[in-house]
Amino acid sequence: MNKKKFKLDQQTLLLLIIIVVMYLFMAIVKGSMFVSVANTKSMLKQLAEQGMFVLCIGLVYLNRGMDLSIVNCANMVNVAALVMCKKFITESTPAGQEALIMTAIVIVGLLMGVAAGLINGFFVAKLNVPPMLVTLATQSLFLGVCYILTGGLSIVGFPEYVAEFGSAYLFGVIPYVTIVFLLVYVVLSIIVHKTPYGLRTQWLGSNKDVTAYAGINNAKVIFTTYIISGVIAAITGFLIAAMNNAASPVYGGSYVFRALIVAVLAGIYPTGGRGKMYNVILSVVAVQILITGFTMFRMSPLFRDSLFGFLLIGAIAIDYVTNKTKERALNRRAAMQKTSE
Amino acid sequence: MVKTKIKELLLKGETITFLIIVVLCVLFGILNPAFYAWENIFTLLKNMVMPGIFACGVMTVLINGGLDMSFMWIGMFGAYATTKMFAYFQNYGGWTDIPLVLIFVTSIVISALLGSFNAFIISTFDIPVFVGTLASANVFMGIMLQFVGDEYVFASSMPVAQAAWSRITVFNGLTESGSGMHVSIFVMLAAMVVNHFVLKYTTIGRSVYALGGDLSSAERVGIKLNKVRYFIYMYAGAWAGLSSIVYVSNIESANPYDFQGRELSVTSAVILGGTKITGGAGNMFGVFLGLALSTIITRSLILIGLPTEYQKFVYGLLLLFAVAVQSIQEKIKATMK
Repeated sequence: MNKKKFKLDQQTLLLLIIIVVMYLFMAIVKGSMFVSVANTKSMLKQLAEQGMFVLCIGLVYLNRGMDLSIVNCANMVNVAALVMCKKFITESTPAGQEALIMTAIVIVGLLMGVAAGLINGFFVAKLNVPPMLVTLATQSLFLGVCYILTGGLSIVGFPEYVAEFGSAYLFGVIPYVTIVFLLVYVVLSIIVHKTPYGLRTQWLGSNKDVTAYAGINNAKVIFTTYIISGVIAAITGFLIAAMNNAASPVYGGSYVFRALIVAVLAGIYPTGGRGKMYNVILSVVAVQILITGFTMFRMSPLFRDSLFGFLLIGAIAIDYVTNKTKERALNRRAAMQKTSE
Repeated sequence: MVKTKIKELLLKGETITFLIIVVLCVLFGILNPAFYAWENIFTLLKNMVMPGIFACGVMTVLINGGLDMSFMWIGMFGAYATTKMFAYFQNYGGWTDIPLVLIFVTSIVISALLGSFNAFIISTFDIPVFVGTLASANVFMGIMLQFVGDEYVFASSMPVAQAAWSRITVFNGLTESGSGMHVSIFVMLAAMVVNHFVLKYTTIGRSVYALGGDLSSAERVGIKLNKVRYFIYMYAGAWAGLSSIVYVSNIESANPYDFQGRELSVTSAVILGGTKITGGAGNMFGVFLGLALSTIITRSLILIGLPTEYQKFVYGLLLLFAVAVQSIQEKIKATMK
């Protein structure tokens, strides 16, 4: 009898409506220019990077944290991977050995992500420093590592197959980089909503003191959160490498700010404990349609960015109105019950 | 008696920030004696002006328990619109003697009005300050770039009074090159004194602290949250307007993109100065020290001859060091209680 009724999350519904409306609008106004395989391919490819960063931000939002260092962490891994490639792989390296070296480089890159997470986690969990301050400092630290490694320039020289991975499509439609994003997205959604850690991190976001009194090791949860965030950033570093076939210390500067907004749009609030990880993909798609759409209308990029602001206020207003209506309905029901008594 | 006094002083947040500054100054001074020249001190102070005036507003919002992401766009909107408008009056309307005060006041008023929009969305929809201001920052940016303009206003077309402002200096004799101390430093100091007074000694200022410390208790005492919110955001907006117009006049060029992505460096300096991100605590003197610390770290690495590619790394390390020392002090304080 205790069957759980399937209930669509309110934010999911809202985002689905936004996506459908925007998609139809673009399809009607721009026709085959928008609804084409080529455009779908490029949209899918573009949303991968942004989506990865939104996953990081969403995760840290859930436990009332903040991670501004993600893009710089990704760049650091990208730069370091390229430097290692150049150093250890030459023309004469045999194929078998090269595969081994590449695996090692990937592992080292992921470990760098773990290390980044450990630094952030240490200052947040052990020293109680506000996460924004910590990650702003590590942002500079990681940027510094990039500068030291490259001397401030952007560098090229990955082996060919790295770029081939970045421009390859599954069934000719879905880019491999997007598949990586989808995998990370699914795994993270499961982690957040189905594992003990996921529940703990949400509780910690709602109320830190209560979780401490409940015997939960807050420090461990915070460490895990920043390590996961760092690892996702490291994976993104490899995606950037594959897509651009180059490494730049200052790549993607606007991604962090956009991710802060897109995560809120997904219904994950920075005040912690509230939100569903699986909505991230919807908000990322919605924003991608907006970006592609307004690029087609030849809007200036900054004005286009400002539309996220309007979108956000709109979403907040709708959220507010629906909550108010619900509240009113509940009050009415309560009043009716009282009179019937 | 004296011992406990010293202990108390050592456990104050500002003392430790001050000590870190002293240590860094000694270190930088050894590495390059030019660090102590009046010239360098005046330059450091001038670099503090823009973040310093912004900080007055930022700390007010933070004390009330919210992270403001929009203040730089609010300020730039006010300053850029003002400069562009008066430049138009001067160059096409033939109004050659526009008073500086009018320019400053216009910028402050525009920014304060924009600030009220923040208060409106935050109190109407009852959303976290961070979310509301993140949205409004984008809205202001878009409206400014699309409808006010996105091209530079250079010194040649700027109102004469503004261009003249950038050359007003005092104590010229103290510096070797005679460049002196810029007058905008006094504006910053005055702003800080005013802000200190408002926050500490007025009813509305105390309400800001009360609401940030404990919302429900403050509301029960009879403080109206939404009324105070309108005050806070218009007040913060006004400081942002002043800061930006002073900055634009100082560098003699209004570039609407100038502040892009620099919000967090000001906010982090304010937090470094002991303002609690959760609200309810913070004072002007601490914030001044926090700003001084972050400015000294940023600006002195060139002076001590660190290679450029190492600067970002060392800046990050020093910032981490500073926050670590502060937090260790907090821990000691907590165990002593």
